Amino acid sequence: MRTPWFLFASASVLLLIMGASFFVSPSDRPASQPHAVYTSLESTDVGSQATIWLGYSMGLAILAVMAALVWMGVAKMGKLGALGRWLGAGFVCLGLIFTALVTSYARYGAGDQNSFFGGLPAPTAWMLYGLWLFPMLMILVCSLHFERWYFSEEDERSIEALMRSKRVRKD
Amino acid sequence: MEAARPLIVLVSVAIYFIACMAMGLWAYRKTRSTEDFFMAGRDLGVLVTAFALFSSILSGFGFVGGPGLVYLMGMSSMWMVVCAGIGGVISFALIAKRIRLFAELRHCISLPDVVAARYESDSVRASVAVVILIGVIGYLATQILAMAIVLQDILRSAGVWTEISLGMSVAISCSVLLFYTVTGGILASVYTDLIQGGVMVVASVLVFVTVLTTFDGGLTEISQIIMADDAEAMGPWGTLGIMGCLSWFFMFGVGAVGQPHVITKSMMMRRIRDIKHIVPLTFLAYVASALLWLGIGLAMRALVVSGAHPALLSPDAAAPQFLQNYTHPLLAGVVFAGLLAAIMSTADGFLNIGTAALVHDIPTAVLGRTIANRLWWARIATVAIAVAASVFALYTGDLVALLGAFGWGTFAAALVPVVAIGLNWKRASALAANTAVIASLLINVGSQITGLTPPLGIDVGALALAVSLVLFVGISLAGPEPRIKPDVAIIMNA
Repeated sequence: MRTPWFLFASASVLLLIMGASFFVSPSDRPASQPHAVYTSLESTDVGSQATIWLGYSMGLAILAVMAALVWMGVAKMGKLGALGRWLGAGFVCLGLIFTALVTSYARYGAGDQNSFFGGLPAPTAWMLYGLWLFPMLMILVCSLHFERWYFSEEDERSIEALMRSKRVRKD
Repeated sequence: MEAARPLIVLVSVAIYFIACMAMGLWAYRKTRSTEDFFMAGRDLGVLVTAFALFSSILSGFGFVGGPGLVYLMGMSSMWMVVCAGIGGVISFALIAKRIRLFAELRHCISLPDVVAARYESDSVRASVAVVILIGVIGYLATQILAMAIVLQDILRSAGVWTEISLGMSVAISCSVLLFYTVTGGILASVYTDLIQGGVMVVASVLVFVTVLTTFDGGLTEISQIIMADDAEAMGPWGTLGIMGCLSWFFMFGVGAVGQPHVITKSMMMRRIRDIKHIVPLTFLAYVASALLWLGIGLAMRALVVSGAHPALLSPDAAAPQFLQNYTHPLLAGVVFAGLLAAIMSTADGFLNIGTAALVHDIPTAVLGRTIANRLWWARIATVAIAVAASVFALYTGDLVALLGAFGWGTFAAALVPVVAIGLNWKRASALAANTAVIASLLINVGSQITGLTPPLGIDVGALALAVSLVLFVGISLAGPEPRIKPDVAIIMNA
């Protein structure tokens, strides 16, 4: 079974990326500071442009860890099965959405702040309408194919038989 | 009607309190065994389980702290919310089915019961129970404090009891909480969660509609006002920065399957096949409730920077100020009841798992057997834990915040590997499980005590989670494959 190794590798990469953050020059760190006028607000003048690619790597590593965890849950007898492949495709889509978010943010930082979607600037729209709501489709795939891919009648029968045998032994 | 606003809020809260106590009395008649008290007889339907799950996740933080963070930092804190969808997928895949199967196979009444069944180890049972008990006291203390502050504010605003002390407010709010949790156990908790969750969803959607109508140009105008003042605040990372935001995304998205007060609810559903309805319903309810978090935070920031509203004294005033100034009095009443509901629904979940740790898990791990008269002791322990947490909340100052902050990150780092992965991976070992728990405690407690945190806004809980994942998987892969009992193997193969 290779999924645990994939989880180990992706979590290690994530840890390395977090470790790399210690070496980012202080001048490149996004620094929030009290707002010039309103003390109960924070503002920032640096933003995340200098650390955007380190952040992009971190985001992809997080998605890889999440995909590995999901695969560990849906795999049966060491095989991913159709549900694992569908959910894997879902994580690829999430990776693409995250890429769109980051590239859109790079343009946003360069001054392109006129693109709006659904009342939000483009990168924020990718975040809320994409990363937040897209997984609903993945949940629906799990729900719609529940008996076929997740917990089949055969699974149910084997569990019932197990419980019955335990009850008989107890009696 | 505007003049009667404080009274409307007070009456709404009073109705809600009475409903909770009535639920406690109803559940008392149905609670006959410890399995009923802790697991609701494993007979919860779709709607009750879904709302119990979602209202346990969304504590008072979501109704006060969340909008305050959006007001303070812009979009940064939305990463705690954005991860909910993926968290739902992870929960579907890793936890929902497996934990329910373990609960049925070994008649488990708590999370430590489940891990003891999986690892055949009382040391893992004990370490998980201790983590839960420590986390529960800290988390519960913060919830009790928040509950008391809200009630004190409501009673003072209504002019009913202007001199009420915080201690008295703690006593009143805890009495209601204890009444329904002691009498009705988890059954009362989950059915009050249903009411609480319903109130939260309705209130959040209505508040979001109010937010959109506060400005003529709706959400676009709000965005433009905030961007004109500070474009980064309206960008996806807010003022925290990309690394900090993503660390929240990781810790809250993956960490959700390590929150004991949440995942324990999955052990209580009636049928496994209900999962296909429960998970989507939980996600939709959460999305609806998070609209309040987003909407109020953005609206108040836009109102303040545009000069339409005076600057707030603190970010946490964002939600109360919006409710008092921009919503209909009846809606304000519903939301304040919803706020108390959010706090209490999380608190009752903690009380339940803390009680199980105290009267069931720790005695079983130490003595090797369960204690007699557990139901009676469970009721006593529920009161004792609430009293301990109240004293803690009132008299230990910064330590409450310390242990409260310790909660989510520690549960995530300690329990995601041990529970979520361990229940799905036969190679996971007891040694790896205990190492992950210890590493989680060391990193989270160490950071709180020393004040050392990672740079770039990375949350220490996220770092602890990554470390414990690497240790858990690495140690398990390096060691021999543990022997699994045949019945447990069947459950893990399903």
